[in-house]
Amino acid sequence: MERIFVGFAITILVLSVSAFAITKDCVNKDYLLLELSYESRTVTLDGYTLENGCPSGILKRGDFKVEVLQNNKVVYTSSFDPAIVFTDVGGEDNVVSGGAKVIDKRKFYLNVPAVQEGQIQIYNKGVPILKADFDVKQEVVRSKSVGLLDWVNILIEDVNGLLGKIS
Amino acid sequence: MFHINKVQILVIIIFAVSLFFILKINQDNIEYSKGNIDCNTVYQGKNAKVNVVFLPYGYGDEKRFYEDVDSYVNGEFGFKNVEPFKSNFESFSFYDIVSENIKCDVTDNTFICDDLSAKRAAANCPNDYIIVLYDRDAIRDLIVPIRSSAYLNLASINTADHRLVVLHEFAHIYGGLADEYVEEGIDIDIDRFQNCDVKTCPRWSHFTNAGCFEGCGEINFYRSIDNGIMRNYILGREFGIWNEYLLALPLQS
Repeated sequence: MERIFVGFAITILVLSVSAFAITKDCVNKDYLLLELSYESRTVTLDGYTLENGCPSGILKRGDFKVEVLQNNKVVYTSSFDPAIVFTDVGGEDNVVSGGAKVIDKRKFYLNVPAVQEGQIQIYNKGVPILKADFDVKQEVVRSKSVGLLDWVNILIEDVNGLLGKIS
Repeated sequence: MFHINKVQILVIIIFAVSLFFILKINQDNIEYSKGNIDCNTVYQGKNAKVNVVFLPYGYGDEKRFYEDVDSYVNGEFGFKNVEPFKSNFESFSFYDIVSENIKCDVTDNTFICDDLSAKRAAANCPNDYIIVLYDRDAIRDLIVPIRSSAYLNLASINTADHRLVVLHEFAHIYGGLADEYVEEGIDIDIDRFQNCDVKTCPRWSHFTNAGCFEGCGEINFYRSIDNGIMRNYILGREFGIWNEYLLALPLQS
């Protein structure tokens, strides 16, 4: 009987710790914030910073595509379109108006997964329009023999320090 | 009176530790390295493939923001009750973050938020799409109506507009759907917007319940539903079978 209780208790513990780990996911992740400019159907990279948090997921809509490469292998790809902004408003006469506006020039940002020493490639309708190397020195220590709260605090301090070095 | 052995103590300790983690989850707080920004889970889909983060702008009251988010997710015109999101609700997770760092602007009567500040705040949660809610007074909006907008993966929403405006803007950024109302001076690229077609509507002619109505962005193009959410979210209550198919398509792969 006691063994059943112990087994049940351990199962509850494993499940709760797993759920906790999933919920807390973004604390232990880094992403690259790409600062980009769009003009005349082309995109230029103005800069990038390493930030703490979750990168954006893989998006599938848009004529433009961003790829992150590490060791010449594509580790992330996502679509986007910086050229169109949709605007909509419902009027008094129950009519919706607005429409899609084509943009000539605009600064925008993408957050992609952080990798050390990688490349970014951007395509417009399959045609390469941008290729840039980046080098992110990550020194975040992810495993130390301390308590959970200490570990989180150390991680935050390390990321802050790293951000300070990059910027 | 009570005799507790070592095994019972062990069980109690394990339960206590489990309780600690469960309470931590319920707090739903994710500490952020640049401040105390919390990621709150509104709904976690069992097979979540798409993460949507709500952010506030112009709210004086956090409670009101949470109520609005709940309405846009679980309300009559929310994701939970409108197809195809209703049938695929478990494929979505929704989060909200109370941040005062979101920068937005109203330009040419259009509400549009700065994607840098929105992306930085949203990074505290799993994020694919970001929806910023602007708490705008309905009477003020009646006098000067402000447009909602959608750009990249960011929707900037005027909450004074009809509740379905969120799903309309989401269909732009997530589904790549075009507006189905006709606006003068707007040219649309028929190749990139699958919800519009040429006369006779060959794209969806094999869908028995889909129609073919004149006007989709431009007067020369055609749409699959007379008054769907992409044409008129005040009168329309559904996307229509073809648009529902297009919106559900990314969830299949």
